[in-house]
Amino acid sequence: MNRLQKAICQAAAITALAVICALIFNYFRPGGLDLFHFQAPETTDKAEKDRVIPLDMAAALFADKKAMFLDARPASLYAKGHIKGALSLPWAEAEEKFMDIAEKLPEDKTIITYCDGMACDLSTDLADFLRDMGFENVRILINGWSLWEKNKLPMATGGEDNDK
Amino acid sequence: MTNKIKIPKHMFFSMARLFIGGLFLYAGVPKIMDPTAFAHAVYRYQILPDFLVNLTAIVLPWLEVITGGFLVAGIWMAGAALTANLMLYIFAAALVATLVRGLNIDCGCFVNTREEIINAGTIARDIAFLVVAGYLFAASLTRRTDS
Repeated sequence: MNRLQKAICQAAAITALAVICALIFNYFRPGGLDLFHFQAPETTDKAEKDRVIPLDMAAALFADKKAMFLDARPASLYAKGHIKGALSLPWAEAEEKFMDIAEKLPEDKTIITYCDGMACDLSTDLADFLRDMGFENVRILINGWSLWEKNKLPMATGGEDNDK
Repeated sequence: MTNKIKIPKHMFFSMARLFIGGLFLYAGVPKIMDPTAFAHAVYRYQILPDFLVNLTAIVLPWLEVITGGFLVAGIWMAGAALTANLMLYIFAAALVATLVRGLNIDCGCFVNTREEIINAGTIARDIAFLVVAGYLFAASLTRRTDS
């Protein structure tokens, strides 16, 4: 057996060992995962579901100027395009930038966080963070940027000042 | 003879071995501790069908830890280096696919924090690891002794 073949056999043995350890450990540990049935995080509880706002409702609040949108994506993506009037609060920098943003958040409006993609949870994380900070009226627009763009709702590019 | 201090080849090899091995241990252990969080991280990539998400979240951290352990211990070097390379290639492919599709999701690469959104730098880092792991594999195939 040459060295490459030997390496492949070793790699296969390492993989087999990992599979065996993983399955045994998962079987005996408390709270082990179900092997084939994955529970998507969004659907776990009802209160969580109620925080999600559908696009038509978000668009209606936007039209009535009753909503303040917060973009949870990185600032570079915000600059490329965002919901008109939205403020940029990237989740990665949420704690540092929060104080600057907090004073711009009107108390009488619904705060709607969004990011992009069905599985993007930056908006959910940001909404959790705002709730912890004492904001009660926070909703999440799942897959917000894609939906907004697809429906050709008002958009803007560049910094916040360009939105006015 | 020159006065240059030469770092022996086996020192390079050991450093690469400990670096990649340590890296995989560091990446794998927290994922074993919190499989649910890692399953969510796998799910966010939207690459695997739902029925493979949990299985991946259960097995992959162990593959990382065992590979890392073998590398650190210096056992079955060629096989462990090969496994490390394959994992890094798969990670690179998943990261590129994510970036191309424009998903802004957390990397889930190391600890299950939500601080690192996938960007070009994440891919560059993976490629840098691949260079070291590639050297490790090539060197362990050509070394005179291999345990």
